[in-house]
Amino acid sequence: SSLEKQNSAFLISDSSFILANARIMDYPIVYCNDGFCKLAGYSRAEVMQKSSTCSFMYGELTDKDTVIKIEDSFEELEQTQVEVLLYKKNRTPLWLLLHIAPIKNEKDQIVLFLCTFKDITALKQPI
Amino acid sequence: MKADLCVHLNRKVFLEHPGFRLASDGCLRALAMHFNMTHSAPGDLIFHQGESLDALCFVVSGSLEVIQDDEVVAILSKGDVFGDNFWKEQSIGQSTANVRALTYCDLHTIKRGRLLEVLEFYHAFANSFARNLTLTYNLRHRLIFRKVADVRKEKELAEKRKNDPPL
Repeated sequence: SSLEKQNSAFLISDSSFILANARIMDYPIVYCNDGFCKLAGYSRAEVMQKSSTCSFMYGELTDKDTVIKIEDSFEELEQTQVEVLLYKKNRTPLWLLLHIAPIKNEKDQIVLFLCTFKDITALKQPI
Repeated sequence: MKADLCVHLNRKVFLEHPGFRLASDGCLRALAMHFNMTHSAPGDLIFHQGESLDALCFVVSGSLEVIQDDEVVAILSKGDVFGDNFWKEQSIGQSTANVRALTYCDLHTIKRGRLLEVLEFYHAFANSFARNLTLTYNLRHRLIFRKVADVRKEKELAEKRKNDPPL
């Protein structure tokens, strides 16, 4: 039952996402949910307008090739999934599964990106 | 009695925002009397670009979009605050964006003059309020951004010019 509890806790903390404007340079964040604020340690007001490539959370251990993969995904308007090491506001490193998905409007134009984050630190080698 | 009712009706704002944490009962009553509750339908414009920023808005339910230069720059929902930092500014600002309701929304708003009156009387509260109340979106400040399509076009033009024979 403790495993069940853990699982349900995982599901709740599971939903953390941001929405980005796909038509503005650097893809500014236009929305983030409470789950993301909790995960990243930033308040919503701090996160607004920052780049959705999450460059504000990069650090020295963030892999450069992964960063390029993320940037390409935004530039090419393509869906990607990567494992990336990002830093919380208090500089705690986190392993995250980042999924980037373009969202189309009714005119079939890509207007937003949905970026979802899953904490996979527990499944990774300790840093 | 009326003031107590108003405090109760605004409880979602007063309890949720750290800006009100240190407010005395008297202070909350004074604030509550000045709060207006508005209900808006999808598509309603709360602020027009260029309009004077004379109210502070708290989103209690629903979601809204902030649009500057035909681009969505923010989506606001429950718990968000938007408007202007009146308590830090001398002049009345102008809205740099449109704010439009996406769903049915409940907003609690307080007028600039009323808020400043209360802040002037309750000095200690004014300090903690200014420190702890952060706007999710400040409509006074224009965002500076470039559209991806414009940058692409410029690049193409520069590329074309490079291939042009020199004059």
